[in-house]
Amino acid sequence: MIKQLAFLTLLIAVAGCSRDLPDRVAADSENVNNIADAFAGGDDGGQTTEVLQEPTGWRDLRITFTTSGDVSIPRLTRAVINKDVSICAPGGVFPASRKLVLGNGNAVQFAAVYLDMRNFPVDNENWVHPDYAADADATIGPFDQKNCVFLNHVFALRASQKLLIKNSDTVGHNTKSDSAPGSPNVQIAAGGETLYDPGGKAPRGGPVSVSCSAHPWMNAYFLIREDPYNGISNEEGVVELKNVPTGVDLEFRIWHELLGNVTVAPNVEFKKGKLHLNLEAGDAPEEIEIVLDAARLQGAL
Amino acid sequence: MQSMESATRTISSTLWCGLLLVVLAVAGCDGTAYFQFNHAYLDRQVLDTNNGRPDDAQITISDEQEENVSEILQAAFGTPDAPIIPGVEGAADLLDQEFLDMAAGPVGRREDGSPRGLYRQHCAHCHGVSGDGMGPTAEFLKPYPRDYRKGIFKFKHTVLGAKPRKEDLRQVLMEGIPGTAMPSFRVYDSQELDAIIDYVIYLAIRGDVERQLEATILQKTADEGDNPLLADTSANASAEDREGLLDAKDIISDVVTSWTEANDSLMPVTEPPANWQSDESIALGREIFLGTGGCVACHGKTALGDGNPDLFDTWTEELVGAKGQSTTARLEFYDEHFAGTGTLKPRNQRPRNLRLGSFRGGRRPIDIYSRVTQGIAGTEMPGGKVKGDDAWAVIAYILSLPEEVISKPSGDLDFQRERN
Repeated sequence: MIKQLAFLTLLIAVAGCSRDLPDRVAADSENVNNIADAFAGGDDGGQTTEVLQEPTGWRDLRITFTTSGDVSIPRLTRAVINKDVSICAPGGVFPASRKLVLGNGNAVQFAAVYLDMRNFPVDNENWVHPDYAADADATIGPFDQKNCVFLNHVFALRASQKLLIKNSDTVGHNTKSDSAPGSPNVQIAAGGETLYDPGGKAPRGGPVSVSCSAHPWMNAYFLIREDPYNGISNEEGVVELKNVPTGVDLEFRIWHELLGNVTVAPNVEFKKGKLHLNLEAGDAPEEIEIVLDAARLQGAL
Repeated sequence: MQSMESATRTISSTLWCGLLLVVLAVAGCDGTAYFQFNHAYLDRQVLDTNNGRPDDAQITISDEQEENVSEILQAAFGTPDAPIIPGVEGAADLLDQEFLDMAAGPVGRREDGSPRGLYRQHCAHCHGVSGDGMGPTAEFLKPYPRDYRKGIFKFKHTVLGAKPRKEDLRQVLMEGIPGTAMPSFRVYDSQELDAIIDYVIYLAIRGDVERQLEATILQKTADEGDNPLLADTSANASAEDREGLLDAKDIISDVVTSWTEANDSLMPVTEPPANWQSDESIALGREIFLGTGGCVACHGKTALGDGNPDLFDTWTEELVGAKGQSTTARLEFYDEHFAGTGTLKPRNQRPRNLRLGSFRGGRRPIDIYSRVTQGIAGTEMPGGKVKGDDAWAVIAYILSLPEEVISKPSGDLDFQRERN
């Protein structure tokens, strides 16, 4: 009887000790060998023979962001803003969600536009207008916070620039971004400021999240790129990129926090997730309107 | 009569033993280890990407795509039994194949008598074969073991955002992490520790590359639809299909470079003033701690770590709901999407109780200096604010806290949460 009980105990111990794990993902050995051979053979995906085009001139590009209809933006609640309430919800008024900020009319603020191309020659003066050299290593900003809100919900800077981060609040904040180069996480006293230096490196992908540890509901984004052809829409919903090279194929990402990369918009053609443009020379800006679907925005809020 | 009873008992025992052996065999004693695919990270990226997308535009990642990522990783990094140093610049200088071979594989001895399987012998039961921090004992430990796959390590003497040096990882092995289940391994052979260090870095690089490959294939799917492969080396693959190889190599190269740069990223250290442990210095440290340092926001005015209970570390952030919601709602997100998927149940990251005198990253003044000036990677602990002599004053105060009588606190005590 004791042996049977011992066996049953052992059986239950063996059967009951495992945690549910996902199924194993197989790897076909032939495919593995082919990939390994390609790596070893210096396979570069066929890029070496690509011939760069040459720009023909410059033209301004103006992209306007609007919504297709009304969107109701909720306010944060007491359950979320649970400290420093007198500062972060002054007068008992809790702030609206910053995930969507509408400007004048149906203008969408804080949408991002940026180049996303593998071989963009950022150091070539035929591709990057010389005017951009003036502030290539400037200190820009400020990126500020007040009443526990990052005043610029999305802030664009070049990897070669430095960003002045200010805290105009009456309480301390720390500005933190795990994914930004250098993973900044700096405590800034009330009324203080600090300088963020990406060190010339741009992260992979698009905007990276910025937060405050002391006030976890605070959220914003940095868009850090090596080239200057990027921008964030203003209160009019407008991004204006000056002196964009003409006569060459350019690939832009269009981004909004609620939608991620925008790949569909009325009357605008996207190819493989990007806005492909080849601007013709002209004095007037090239105008493009991106209409974001109100229902999708509402659903994502 | 007695011999018949004895024979009956013998037959019965044999049957039970035989049945036990069958059960053990069926229960899964296959010794072939494999790297667990990082489903949690990919699933979270898919969820975030699909948020707000109409039903007919929802993205899924196919089994073939997951296998493609797995195949790229195996081609570049090998297997748990046969690790490979990836063929990118700097990797062969960073990692030693001999060390990887000593640490990898099942526990035993190699033909020349050198050890094999050191990682599985000492580390895998907590940190997992893949370095995912989800070994068999992990769920019973508090805090959970480190997940290496983000390439983030808390306790180091490099600047915030930089990888740890090998010396930093060696310090963790030598000292252990007080207050956790991570023991000291100082009794082990120095070369064996070097082997484990190299293997941990190897796992960290592999895990980081895996995450980035997953993000890349998801992006490609969102852009192109039709579940494209990331790297297609088949005979009829187009040049565009093969571009993924370049992306994969770039990713591996960038991750390796971040590790090779660690030695150039040592944190700057201001020498402590001669009187840094004086009463005056402690008083200054207290003033900074309670005031401009901003420490009380999380550590609380009593330094008990009760200032902010709603924090999550960076590893847990990927499993819970987005910021801007209540903690309850964030945990409900985990229950809805990740419970039962093999991940560890999220726990809040508690700010350190500084009155215990136990410091996970080491209690030498230089160790606390690193925490105060550089913050703690992967956590909400910031750096950069308190520097120079002020930092040493804060360190003096922190080291004095276990001796400070809490029933007679120095400052006014308020409730940590406002009552409105």
